[in-house]
Amino acid sequence: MADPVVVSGGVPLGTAAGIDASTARGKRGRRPNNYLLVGGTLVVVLALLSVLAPLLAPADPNALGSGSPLLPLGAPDHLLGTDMLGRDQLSRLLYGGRITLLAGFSAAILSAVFGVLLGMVAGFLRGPVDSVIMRVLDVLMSFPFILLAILIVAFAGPSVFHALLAIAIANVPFLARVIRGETLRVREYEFVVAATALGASRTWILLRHVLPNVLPLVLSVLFVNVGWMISQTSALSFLGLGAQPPTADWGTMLAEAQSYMALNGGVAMMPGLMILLAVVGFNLFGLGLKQILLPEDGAR
Amino acid sequence: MTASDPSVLLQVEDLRVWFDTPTEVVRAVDGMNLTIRRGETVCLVGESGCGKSVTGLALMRLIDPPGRIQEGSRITFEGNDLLGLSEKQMERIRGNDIAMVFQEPMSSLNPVQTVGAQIVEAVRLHQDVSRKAARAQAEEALALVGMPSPKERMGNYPHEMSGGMRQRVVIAMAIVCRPKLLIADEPTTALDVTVQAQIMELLERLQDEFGMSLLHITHDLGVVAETADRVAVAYGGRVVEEGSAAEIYGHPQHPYTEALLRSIPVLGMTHTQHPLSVIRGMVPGGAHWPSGCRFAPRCDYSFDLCAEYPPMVDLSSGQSAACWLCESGPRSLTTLPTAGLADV
Amino acid sequence: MVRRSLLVIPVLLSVSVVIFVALHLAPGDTATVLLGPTASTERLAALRTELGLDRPLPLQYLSWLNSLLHGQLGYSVSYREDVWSLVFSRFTNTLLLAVPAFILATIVGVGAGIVGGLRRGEWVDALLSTAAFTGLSMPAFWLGLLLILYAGLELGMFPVSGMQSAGLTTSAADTARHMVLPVLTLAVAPAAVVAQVTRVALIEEMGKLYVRTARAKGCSRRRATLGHALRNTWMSVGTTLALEVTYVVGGGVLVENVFNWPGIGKLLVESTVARDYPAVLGASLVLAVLFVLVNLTIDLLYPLLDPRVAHHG
Repeated sequence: MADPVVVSGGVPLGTAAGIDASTARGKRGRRPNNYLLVGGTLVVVLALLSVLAPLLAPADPNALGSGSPLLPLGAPDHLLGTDMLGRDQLSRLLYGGRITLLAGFSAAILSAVFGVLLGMVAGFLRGPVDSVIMRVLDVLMSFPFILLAILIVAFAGPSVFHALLAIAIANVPFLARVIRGETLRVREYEFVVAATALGASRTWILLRHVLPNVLPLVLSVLFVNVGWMISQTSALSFLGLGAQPPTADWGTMLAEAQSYMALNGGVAMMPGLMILLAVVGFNLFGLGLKQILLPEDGAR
Repeated sequence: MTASDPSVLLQVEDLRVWFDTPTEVVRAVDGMNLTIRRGETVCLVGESGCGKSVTGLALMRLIDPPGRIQEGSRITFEGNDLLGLSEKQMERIRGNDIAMVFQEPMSSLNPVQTVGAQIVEAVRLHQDVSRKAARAQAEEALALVGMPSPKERMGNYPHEMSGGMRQRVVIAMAIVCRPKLLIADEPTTALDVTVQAQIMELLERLQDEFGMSLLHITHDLGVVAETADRVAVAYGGRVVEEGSAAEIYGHPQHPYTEALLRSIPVLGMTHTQHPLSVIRGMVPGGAHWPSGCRFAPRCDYSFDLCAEYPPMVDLSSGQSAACWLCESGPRSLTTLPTAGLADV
Repeated sequence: MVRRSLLVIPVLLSVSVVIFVALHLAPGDTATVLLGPTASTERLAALRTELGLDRPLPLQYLSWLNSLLHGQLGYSVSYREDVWSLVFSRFTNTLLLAVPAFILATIVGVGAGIVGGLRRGEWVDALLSTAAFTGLSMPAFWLGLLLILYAGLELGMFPVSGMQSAGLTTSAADTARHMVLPVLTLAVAPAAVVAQVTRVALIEEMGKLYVRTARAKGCSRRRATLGHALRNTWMSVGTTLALEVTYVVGGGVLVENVFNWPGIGKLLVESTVARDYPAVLGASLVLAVLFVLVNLTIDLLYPLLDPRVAHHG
């Protein structure tokens, strides 16, 4: 099956993703390493910052008036300024990042697990099971992504957990579709047919034969998805449907920033910059990973 | 045989086309010499990897980076230096004076344009005529190539046609402006055997009608036996033997030519009397030509002199060959089963 | 073609089923949800009969569907307005952003993709590719805020909130000025997608054999690329149109909220925060139906782009 534009949650992967290999003509053999290197560095740095937040944060993120309000970037004692309540932004960004990154990562893992499960089952068993699963997924996909997420949050109630759950659910159909396609392809492989002939149970075949072949695709998609979900979960938080006060993530920080951005623009925009860096980092890493795991696709 | 000889249409001298890859330089064509006269059919023969297709593209100056035509190559068309022309001038020649037909009829045509529109474009690129006149020419070209109901076919899309019909369209597109030279790069390889014969007949007929020269690039010596006037055998990016068809088929001189001929099955051959032979080894990639005779590693007759590249010698048997074995005159071989192929 | 159109009906029906199920998940009985706690007992009773709340679920669905088609979407407490008219009035506002953004994104995206494909490997290509990548990675709501901050507040070029300047009577010019920043914000992500897909598609086509045939005929490089290769990319670009719609709709929700633009997206979020279920469901239904219909239209347009599909599709 010719490789179409593989879409996951609306993010084009596969042949259309990002800067393709042909752009960096001069750096021939080093292309994938560039993406992995830059992306990987960003991801690792962000992860470290989150993990080490308690050590790195100069102040209590929720402490009102730990500094004078609306200090600009680069102020002494408050490297990234303070908001209108005098809270240190650097600390808030560090702690907020924990939530944003964790939420995005969890959502990606969740949707991957369910997407792979459903996709593999549907693709391998075919027949009525396949039809049912596909119909349900089709219905889910007929809703715009964010609408589905908002609907779920509307009924479950706003919270970080519900937001990440909603985003994960909204993304399952796309992933399941792709995995199903891949499963359909893999099940025709001779060793699968051979294993069936040898009397292996279907679960065994699924786990031992189909899954390893599907895994490269899943892994290469996973990291790009993390980026996408970080963006989406922050979006829900921004809209007030995700993290609820006093919990703050980068999304809610941006929402708050709206009230003082005219007075302290640089500080106000920082959370958004962090989101951008996170998304870029994961996207690049995912692209680099894809070029290693799925070299046939990268030959453009 | 100088460039000022009016009967010579195209002269290729010392053509070198090299490709730059990240790790090495691939010398696909490395000193190719070729002469094509008006109205003549010249066959450039050899296995894949010997540089013959690249030669065809080079003649049309369709070599794109990372390939480049090296300094010192000369291509002369009707007395004019082809390599010195500007791109714009070259565009006027392509499809007009020199045309080319490729190997894959399935993908050589634009899938979203009607067949008629594509031929019309070929006309209007070179002639200042009305659309109506161009359509008339296109229809005529389709009729010429033996297309049934040409008028209806004009509105068809390529995917609505069989491979043989598509190849006819490609040929029609190539000859619509009555080019003086048609380069056919493996035109029949992708087609059924019966269609192959039809296409070869068609090309021959067009040649007779227009006095067109034909450069037929192929790996199949069996296909060209009847139609070729002259045959040039290529190996290692160069011509290793060159002569009239009768000479090449009747008494081949170069061991490579001999080996090629021995690998063609001919009606009447028996497995015991004439076992088909296979040339041992493989064509090395164009980056690793041996110094000295390039065929030597695969040759059954190689000896110590082969460490030095043999010059091309004119032989009394009529052809020229580049082999040390021919230094003191033509070799005599047992008559090959293919000897009679070119006698028609 | 007719067959494809008919296929849409089951999809629309399933959408309505989902909404129906959601309706029942809301606290309280359906009539109360739809009419709000302030509704009079008589109206509640009337609606209960109409919806047949004591009848089995499938029949309830049918009567709900029936009332739906008669314009009964419920009553929004927070807006004090009938949901149908609420949604309807907001709908045009959303289109006012979505349509120009879609058109802008397509034009800019295709243009950038072509330039990138033609100049593959050169700095222009690298620049455009990086821009596209960044545009896709950037959170739309942040971009909106950035534009508000720098283009709107600091430079004062454009108004930053709402659809009209306060106090003035509605004028097209004023609305247009208000449209600029949100439309720009909304167009970035879809433009990036279109650019990437167009570029890759063009590069792929440029490597195909018929392009070589075109050049052998005497076409200049430019004519072979733009006249031949490009025409074959429309199919791929067509596929992205559907993708674009997703971005425009999804992005629209965010953009409307950042710019305080009174469209369906803003309605959706506001009513979600306010737990105003009729409004949430009404807006969702309309958005979902719109989404399905737009995708259908794009599906139907395919044969126009590729004669091969026309013959076998």
